[in-house]
Amino acid sequence: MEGSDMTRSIVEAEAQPSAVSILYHHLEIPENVEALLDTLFVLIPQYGLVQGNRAAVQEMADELLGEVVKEVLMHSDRYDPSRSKPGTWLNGAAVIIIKRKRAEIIKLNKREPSFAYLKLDQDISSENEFFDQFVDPTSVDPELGVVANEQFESLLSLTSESNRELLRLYIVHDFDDTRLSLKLGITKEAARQRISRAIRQLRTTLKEQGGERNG
Amino acid sequence: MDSRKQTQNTLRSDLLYRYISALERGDIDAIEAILQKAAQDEILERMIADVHRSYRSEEDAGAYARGVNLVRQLLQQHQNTEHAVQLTPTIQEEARLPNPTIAKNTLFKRLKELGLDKDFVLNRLLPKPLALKLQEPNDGEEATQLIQRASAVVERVFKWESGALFRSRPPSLNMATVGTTRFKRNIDSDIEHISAYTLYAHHIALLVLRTTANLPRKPIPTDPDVVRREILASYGTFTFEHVLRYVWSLGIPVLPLNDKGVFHGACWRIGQRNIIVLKQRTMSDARWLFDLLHELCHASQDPDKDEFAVIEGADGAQGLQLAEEEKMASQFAGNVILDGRAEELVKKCVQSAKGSVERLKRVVPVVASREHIPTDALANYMAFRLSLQNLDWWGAANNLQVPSTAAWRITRDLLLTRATIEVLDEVDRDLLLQALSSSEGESL
Repeated sequence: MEGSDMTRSIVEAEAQPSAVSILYHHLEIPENVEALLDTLFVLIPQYGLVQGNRAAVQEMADELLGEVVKEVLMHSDRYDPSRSKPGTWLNGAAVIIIKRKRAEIIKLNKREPSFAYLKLDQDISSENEFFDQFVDPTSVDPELGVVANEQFESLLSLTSESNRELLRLYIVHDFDDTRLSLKLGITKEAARQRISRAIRQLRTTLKEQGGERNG
Repeated sequence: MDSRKQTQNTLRSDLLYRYISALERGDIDAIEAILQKAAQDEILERMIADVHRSYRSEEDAGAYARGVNLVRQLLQQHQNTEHAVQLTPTIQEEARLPNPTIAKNTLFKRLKELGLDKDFVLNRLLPKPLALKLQEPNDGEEATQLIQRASAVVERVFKWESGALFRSRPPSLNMATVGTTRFKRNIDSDIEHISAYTLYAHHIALLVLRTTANLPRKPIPTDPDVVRREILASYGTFTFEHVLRYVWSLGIPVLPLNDKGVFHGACWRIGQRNIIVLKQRTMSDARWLFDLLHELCHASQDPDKDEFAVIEGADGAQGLQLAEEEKMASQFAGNVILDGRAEELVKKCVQSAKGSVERLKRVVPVVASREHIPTDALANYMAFRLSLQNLDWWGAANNLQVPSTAAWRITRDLLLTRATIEVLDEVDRDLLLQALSSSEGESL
């Protein structure tokens, strides 16, 4: 597509928001890109794509971020804004690209001992299959059901009092950063930081507990 | 709070707990399942984003800024055309500036950032005439052409799309093309250089496979006795050259490289064809022999697999944490060279040294002489055995080697004799021949 045509289509999109313009607007906001990077930073080591230090994770995240954005823009016609938010769509793409990358690495390096424990993914052989994987996410698994959150409560009891209260508001009462900031009389950014700190403490506590309570 | 909402929140808190727990355990199945659920639950999705955010650290600040810039560029590119549109001056644009030296420096600086030293680029990657021209003063137009030609060669080797080097954001090294490597050393300090060199070596290996496409292949014996017997039956004596010819007779080309550091050997299987790369800077035929047979053992493993990659670490302390396959390959090499007596000879050395590593250097030549075994071969095997006990004896073993560059020359000459270089185009032919020159800067 010529540049002017593309520009025109973007302008038209402004009048009647289309998938591509929604994705554009979403990606133009730095916070949204940072959230996508957060996902990549967390999942890249989980999927064993790199084994090195943080710099190696960052390098891989750089690469995958570019791939995710390119894929999503290239196939923006498959994005249905009525079914999912752009952030959800991007996260779904990120997971699939991470899985695809892992499958590539495993295929090319079947002898790599450190990857021996990983299972090969289902074959993602076409672009359609690629995107179909997150067009219609599975419904809630009934097996998980409503498991009493006693474990969570007991874990919360191990966090500091202020964090416990914050997490209770955040998790049990659905308080997002805006509501938390109003409730606590702090800025939204401060609320976000406090949520991060509280979750970090939760993770640390869980790690100290062996991470097996719910295994 | 109504009961329905309470149930939802209970489920959500349970899922959030499971997610955090799964991250700590590295349970990717659970992670994926919960992410799928989050795609349908805005609040859970937000909470998971907060969990991800809690992993942030100060050292990531630069990465976030880079990411935002990258996305901005991609949006810009996509908006104008699907091809690259630059937000900042490209190397090509700089080449048209009044001072072409800046443009050339920018090219080399960018390559340096990717792990490619200027000397390496000039001596190994670029054809000699082009390399010489680049080092002369050029006007803007000539500089543009030279930079384009140089980048085209580099882009070919590193499988970057045309013009990738000219973009505002430099391309990355895609190690997936060579198989994730199994280096046995701490590579954190120089990862770009190691990765870049490995990609280069892989490209040269691919060229060699193309030039030896008609090489008949045979099953590779896995028993060291059989290997030694077959070599002696075919060639009469057990020398480096005879082992090398034997390896070739199995359909495995052997590529000698002669650059500093990074790794000392590799074995790739690409499309069911094995290729061995030797890159040993120790001037010792015995060491080359050991490495060659070590890689032959790797080539014999998993014959049903179409592809694999094993890349051996660079320094003498590479054996400190050897994988089983590595141990097996070194034991195989030792037993072929020492006629199946490797462990027996080790015991004799240890007994004679009375368990003292310090005395080994004196003892190994004595035992070798008494048992009619080459000293350098026994020293190499001892170094390997000691490495299993976290003892680095490679330095002492190196001092017991007979200095020789014959192995490298023999390997190169045999490759040049067996390879049909004419199947390559001019650029690849130059690349291969420069890889086979005796050292950086010296042509064949």
